[in-house]
Amino acid sequence: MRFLIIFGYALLAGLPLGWLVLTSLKPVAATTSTSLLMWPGIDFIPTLAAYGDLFTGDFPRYLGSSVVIAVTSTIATVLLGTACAYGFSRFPLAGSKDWLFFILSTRFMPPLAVVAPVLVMYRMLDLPNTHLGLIILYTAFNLSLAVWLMKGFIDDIPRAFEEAALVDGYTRWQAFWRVIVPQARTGMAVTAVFCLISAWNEYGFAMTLNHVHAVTVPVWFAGLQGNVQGVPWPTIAGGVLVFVSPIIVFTVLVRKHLLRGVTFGTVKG
Amino acid sequence: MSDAVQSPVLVLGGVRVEFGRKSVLAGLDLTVGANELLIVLGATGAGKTTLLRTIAGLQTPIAGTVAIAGVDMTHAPPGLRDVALVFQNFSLYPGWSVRRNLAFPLRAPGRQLSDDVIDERVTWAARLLHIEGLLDKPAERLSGGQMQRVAIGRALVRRPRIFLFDEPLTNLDAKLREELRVELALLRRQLGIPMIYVTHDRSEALALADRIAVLAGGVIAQIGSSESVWNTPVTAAVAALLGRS
Amino acid sequence: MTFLALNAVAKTYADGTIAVHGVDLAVDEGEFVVLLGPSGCGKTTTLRMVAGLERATGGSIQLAGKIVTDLPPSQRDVGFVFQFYALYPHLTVRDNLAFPLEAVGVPWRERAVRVNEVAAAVGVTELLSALPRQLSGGDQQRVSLARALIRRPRLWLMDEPLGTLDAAVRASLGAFIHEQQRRHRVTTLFVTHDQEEAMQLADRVVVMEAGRIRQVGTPTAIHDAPRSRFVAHFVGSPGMNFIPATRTAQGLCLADGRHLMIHNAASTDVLGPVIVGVRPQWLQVSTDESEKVGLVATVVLDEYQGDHRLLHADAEGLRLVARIPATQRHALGARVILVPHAEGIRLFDPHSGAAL
Repeated sequence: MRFLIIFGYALLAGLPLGWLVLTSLKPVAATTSTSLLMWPGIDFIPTLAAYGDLFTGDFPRYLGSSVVIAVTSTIATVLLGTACAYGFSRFPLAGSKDWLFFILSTRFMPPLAVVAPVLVMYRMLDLPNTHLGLIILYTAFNLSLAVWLMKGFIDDIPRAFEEAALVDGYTRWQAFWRVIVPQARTGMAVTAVFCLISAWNEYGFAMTLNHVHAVTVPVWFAGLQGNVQGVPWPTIAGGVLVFVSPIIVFTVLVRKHLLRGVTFGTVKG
Repeated sequence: MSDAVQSPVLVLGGVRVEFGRKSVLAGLDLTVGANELLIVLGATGAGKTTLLRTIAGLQTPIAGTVAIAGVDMTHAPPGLRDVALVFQNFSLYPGWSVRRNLAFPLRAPGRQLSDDVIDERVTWAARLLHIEGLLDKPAERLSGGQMQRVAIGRALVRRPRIFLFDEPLTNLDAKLREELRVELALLRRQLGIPMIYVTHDRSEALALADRIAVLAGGVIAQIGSSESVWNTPVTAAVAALLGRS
Repeated sequence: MTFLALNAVAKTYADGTIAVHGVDLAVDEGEFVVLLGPSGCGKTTTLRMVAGLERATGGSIQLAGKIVTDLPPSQRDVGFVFQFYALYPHLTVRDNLAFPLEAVGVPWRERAVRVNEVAAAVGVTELLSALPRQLSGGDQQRVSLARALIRRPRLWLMDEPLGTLDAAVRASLGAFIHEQQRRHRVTTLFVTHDQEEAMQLADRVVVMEAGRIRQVGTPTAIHDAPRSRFVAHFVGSPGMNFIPATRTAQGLCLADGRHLMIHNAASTDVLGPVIVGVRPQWLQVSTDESEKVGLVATVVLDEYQGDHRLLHADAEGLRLVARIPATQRHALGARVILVPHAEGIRLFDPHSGAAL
């Protein structure tokens, strides 16, 4: 029974992905056929032409922009979020509950509601069409999530650890880096996955702000659909596959951290 | 030997528990009589907690039987065994009053007790444990000793067939431990419910025990009255557990 | 020579609760001082203020002739042992031990030498490559002691280091701490709620209650000459028994007209109502009905303790404990007469609780 459910779910989730793989291997003509062409070699002759087009064209540049923006903003978010969360967790801050609520409240509004003011502001600062613009935006937007997630993780790390480091002769800042950060790795991995996915896939702001330079992959995909020579489905399919693979690889890499959970076996529980 | 137990309430036969490849209980036999207080003594990692969990039904043995009141309960879920377990960290629900905490086990859907009966049981338990004055206090505002009284009370209200204690006084101040030890001794005389009590405190063990069972190597290495275990420990390790070196 | 001096050190938390009310204490170089008290008495807060982990809100702390009240912990040169060991879980035992040396910039070659040295001293050489979670509680605390020792600090601070360990491990590790302290002549401040531990380890015991120091003295002085009912009850296992009585010219007289003692052995001339304190070991249990002095009581509980028994008896609502030989047996409900030994009698003021 359990097996059936899991199998069914896997089928459901895997089907579109499989279709993408098939599509990316088809010649353009085959993609517009009205019949269901399923078997490579029988229904159509598989070709890597789409991937060739993809990597000789502008795609690598867009992918580069996506990588720079998503990775930089993720690193910035996780670092800032961890530091902020540490502050909230450890220091008696006047009105800290209100501050935390305020930070969360930045996510109450649908992000697209602020597109116009952000655009105006960015124009004055010359930030549209730059990597930096989107990095700042994604960092600011994901920070609230990072602070809340990380605060939970850091609250669970006993204070005695950093106090031991303080007494051992380390400054507060060194203790944070040497003792807290290594133990908050699980939390940082979780936070990084969320931030990376969010920044990687973001479309609304990216489309509004960066349509000339520093264009990210989702924006490029959208642009392709208005192509006058017809939609190049195999290229899009190939692009999507290339585009989702880094996220999958990253998630698999940090899976160990994600699944390990938070175990502080050394402080007796 | 006077170890033949009259009217046993709990009988463990050849109980084996393994974690991975590590054998924790290796064919353990144990019989506990009605009205008896049995102390389980053993070094850290000897499997004391595992033994309690096996009796409570939180751990299934890979071999052997657990019989409660003459009924084979080896595979019965915890809820059917009618035993109560008191841990060393007092797991009370914060935000709830002491009264609500005490009443919680009685409000389990299967019990169908009237509010009057619940009230009466809660008052009875509170009086026995000298916490009548605390009934309307929120649980998180209690001191450590008060919390542990409430935790014991929560086990008490159900009037279980067997009481299991897992180092219930370990987290308390030494002075408080002494006082609660005396109260527990007086309380059990009024209750007449068999108790299995795990501890590593020799004062507690010697003072409370009808019999002491020493757990070592996954089996009961020695069992007998406080006097006999103290006077003739079977191994040097048993002597060390009792602080005789 | 005074090495550590606390002058009116106080701690008030932001929400207004007062944890410590102006504590004065002078600790000599090389001395082992134990802060003893029930939970919430301010002993740990006091220790943490000395370490700099908690900021004193009043008074000053002097360490080796220097005022350190506002210095961060890293500049106080103290070693701290935590109740829950607080070994860094992501580092091996070796790296845990080297960690404090790294902070003060000891070159790695010397670090290795000192790690081996201190590991040998506390007997954890075979564990150097292990991670903390692979060690038993006792071994973790050993490593934690070694870590507090490795920098050769001038002051050792210990926050209930034996509190979470098994009785057997506790005894051996307690003896070990004592030996290390003697050998290195490290001035030590040790916090515990366990009076037996305090008695075994301390040169001097500081008894605290409700944020105040109640008495400072050698273990013997604290045990034999408590200055208040609180100290008399808290120290000793079990604590002192208290019996309300009237002191007349003929001796100590009980409410039922019997005498507790004919001759006055006590050190005061005050006549009138007093509280008589007598430790369990100074109460004799007699079944001789012709006994002229002593309290008539009923046995309610007999606690076997191996080498002795604790006999709990009820004298008209007054609960008393006597420590008697293990061979002496009394049935529950039996009528006994509890006769205090003159040498063990202490008198307290019925209102203030102060010793008379």
